[in-house]
Amino acid sequence: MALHVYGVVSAATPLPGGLRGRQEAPVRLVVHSDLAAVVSEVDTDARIRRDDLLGHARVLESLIDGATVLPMRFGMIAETDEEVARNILEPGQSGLTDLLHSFDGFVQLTVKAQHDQGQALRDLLHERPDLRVLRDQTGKGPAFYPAQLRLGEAIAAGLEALVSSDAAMLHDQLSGIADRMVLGDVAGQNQVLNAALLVQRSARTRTDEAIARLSKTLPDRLRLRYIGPQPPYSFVAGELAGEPVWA
Amino acid sequence: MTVTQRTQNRYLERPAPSSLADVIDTILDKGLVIDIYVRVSLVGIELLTIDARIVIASVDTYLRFAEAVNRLDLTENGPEGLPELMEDITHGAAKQKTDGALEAVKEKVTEVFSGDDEDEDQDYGDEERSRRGRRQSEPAKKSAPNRRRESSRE
Repeated sequence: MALHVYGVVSAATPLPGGLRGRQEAPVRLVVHSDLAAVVSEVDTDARIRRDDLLGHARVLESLIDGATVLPMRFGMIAETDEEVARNILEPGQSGLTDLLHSFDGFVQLTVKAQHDQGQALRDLLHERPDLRVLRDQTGKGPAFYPAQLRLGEAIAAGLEALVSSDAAMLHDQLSGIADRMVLGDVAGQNQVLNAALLVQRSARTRTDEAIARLSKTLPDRLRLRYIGPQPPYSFVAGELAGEPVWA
Repeated sequence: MTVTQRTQNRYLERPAPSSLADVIDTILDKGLVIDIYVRVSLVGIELLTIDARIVIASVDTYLRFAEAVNRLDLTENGPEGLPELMEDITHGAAKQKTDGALEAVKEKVTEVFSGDDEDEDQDYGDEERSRRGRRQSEPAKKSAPNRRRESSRE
């Protein structure tokens, strides 16, 4: 058995009663000086499943209402309590304590924006007469293959431009709402924006209202998802160990 | 994930808890890292993300866009025409009629982790499983860049 490390909190943090983590193991704290690591026992020979990933996130999310949490990336496994204290909490002591203070009272909220592809195509053709011309030059059959390809390529470029301008517009709108904002990767065709907002816990209601207002003013092609509250995943990345492993 | 998006987003009164897809996005990619304790390699996910980027600029995608646009009836402006159109665009993605072709790739990532209630063997292919098993039991290496190179060869 080994220990899965979820994150780091201040030593005084109370854990919710009966909190269970990966593989349904009880979650506990490894305390060292004024810091504590949130851990649970884990069988590292077992395959990683959906519940393991969700378990990691749920444990951290269950703590953030009452405490400031520095989340670990999934996959930090130590052998013993001593190892956690000696290798994670002790060397990082000053750094972790400072980091914990800097996020005191803050939570992360994530806004993801996506295009409804049908509506985006529609808007694109309405706005771009040149694309309508290209469209009118195509037809069925192999003879039109080059024309089809030209059209498709122009559409792809047009959609990409629409993604960029929508992303810039959302970026402007959102930066007025958050204390800090980090843009994550957007992978996939219809994805427009993946923004992590750092907001004060006390400003949550105001933020919720601002997001709701924003969502009502957007063009129909834009779909928003609003996720959280989360620990500040996107704002701590790599800060402790220098080079992030997968980034 | 897609279902909630489809049912309109005009009323986002409060944030929702993270879904599996969001979790994959965050906890595998973000958060504090302590190199010596990284025991989990999720190579498959990284590769799928890269695949998604390559596919966007393919001839196949261009032709699908062209076909979708040819069928678009610009005289109607409502979402009525959408289902038929989107079915065309996503003919490759069985369950996903509403999103673009590449959304299917992301969906695949999700499926990697979605075998819990079913047969144990369904969530990874054999090759993926043995690779994963091997990596997970491997002692942690400090040299993350090596691991990354290794993964891109596979």
